[in-house]
Amino acid sequence: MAVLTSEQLTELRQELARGESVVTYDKATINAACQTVEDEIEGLKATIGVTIDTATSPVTLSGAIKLKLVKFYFHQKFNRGG
Amino acid sequence: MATHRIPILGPGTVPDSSGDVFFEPYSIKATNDVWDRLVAIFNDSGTRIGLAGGFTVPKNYVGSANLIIVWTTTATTGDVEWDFDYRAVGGNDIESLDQAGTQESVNANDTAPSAAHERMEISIALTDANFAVDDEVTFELFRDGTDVGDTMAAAAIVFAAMFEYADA
Repeated sequence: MAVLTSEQLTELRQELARGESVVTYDKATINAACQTVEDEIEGLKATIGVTIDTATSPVTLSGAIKLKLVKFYFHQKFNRGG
Repeated sequence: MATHRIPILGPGTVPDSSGDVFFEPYSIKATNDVWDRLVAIFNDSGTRIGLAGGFTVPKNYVGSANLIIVWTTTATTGDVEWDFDYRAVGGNDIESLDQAGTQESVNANDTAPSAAHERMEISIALTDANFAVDDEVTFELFRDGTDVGDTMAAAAIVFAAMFEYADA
């Protein structure tokens, strides 16, 4: 599992705090949450390629297309109120 | 003997080049957006970030020197680590204003308020003998995000930094 760097954690904490009128967690708490998200998403990346291949068989999408698909899905899901 | 406080974040105050210390209107972080004065933002950066400035020691300075920081935050948990490095330079054609190294480095840890945006004040003792009337004090006020004691996951919002002292 990838370990988030201190710079990555700092960027995530800053973005989170920027949108909050009250911050009720400390660095250690939110760092643990960020690392958990990283671990889960990395795990998902390992399996979703196979799952997509099963769904699209006999067509096989390239790795680049699968990655773009997942990125745009999250953009739609979280940025546009999906 | 009376105690005085003078503000030290004057026109010569300048943030470092990190991009994580800067001035912005308080309304950016505030909820009610009524009071729009400039405040100094010290981000949760994980690094030691600073605001440099200077002030002159007043004519009636005798002692009991302290640094006072008035600050707040949107956080309600965690601690912030403040550092203050300075050098006091006096006389006429005697001491250089361009000296390497600090005269004194002090630090203190403070805890986030019980409710967001409540006024916080911390006092850090300075060495009285380091200051003399008319000295030009150059300083840098830091939030030290590298210190394990800095656990606050939000920006520190500085309203004022003051030199507190007693007269005769």
